[in-house]
Amino acid sequence: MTDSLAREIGRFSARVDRADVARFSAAVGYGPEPRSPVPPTYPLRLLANSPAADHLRDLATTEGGAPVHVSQSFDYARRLRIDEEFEGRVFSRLDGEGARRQAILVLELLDTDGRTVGRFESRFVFVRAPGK
Amino acid sequence: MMPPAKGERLPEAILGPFGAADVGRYADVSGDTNPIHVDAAAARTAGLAGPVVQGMLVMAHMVRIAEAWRSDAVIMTARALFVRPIGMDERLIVEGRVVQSGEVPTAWQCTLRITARNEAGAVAAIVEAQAAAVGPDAAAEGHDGAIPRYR
Repeated sequence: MTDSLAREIGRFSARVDRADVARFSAAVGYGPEPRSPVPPTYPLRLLANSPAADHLRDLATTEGGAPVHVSQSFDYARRLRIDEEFEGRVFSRLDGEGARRQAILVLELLDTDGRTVGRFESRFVFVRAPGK
Repeated sequence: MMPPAKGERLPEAILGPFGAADVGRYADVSGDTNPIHVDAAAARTAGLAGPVVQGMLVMAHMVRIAEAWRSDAVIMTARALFVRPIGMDERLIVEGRVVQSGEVPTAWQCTLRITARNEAGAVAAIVEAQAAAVGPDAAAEGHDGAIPRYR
């Protein structure tokens, strides 16, 4: 990761599962057939079973608010295919103060030869009801 | 197919309104368990009027619309800004256009700006995406974009 201020919070290995892709594809309007390459936002689904999920919950506690997703990017060297195996590396950093405070999570995907497949950046703010 | 021209517009599309079933389904398939999308009390605690649609659900649809625009292109890069929370009752009008287009030695690439507005005209999400050309044969078999790589 190019951002030296970010901290690596974990790694995971995964395989692009056909049935999982089919469910995801259908939910975002592609129809019932699994697509290959998979929908470009699909890899973020893999964060749910990664260290990122617990990390974001911990941040919600320490930052004192519910995380709200404010921006998302992806940048592929090539698109992911069904049955492909890869490694995910998750990085995190906090940026800004007060109302501008953001958590930035970065997922990097590497293929089994260690080549970067794609990079995904998610930004969250933490919000709570006025007076809370 | 001809390269896209700057200013060319994508066909307008309508998204939503996303109901609780759509949002719950996306929560299930994406693993996004943030309660502000499915729990009214949790949403109010976060200062929202009620559960809101996942920004990623809207982004996924907006990118799908961009991918459907040209069969000879693949989306390699995109950035979405979720401008404001999207309520369950909102219908979104999605418009897009080519804001930059250029040819490189073997093919073309372009930048798309896609905007989702509600029926009152309020912008809910903006996606800027880069599409890169693949050959028609490659497009038909689901090219992964590995050969054309533009910055």
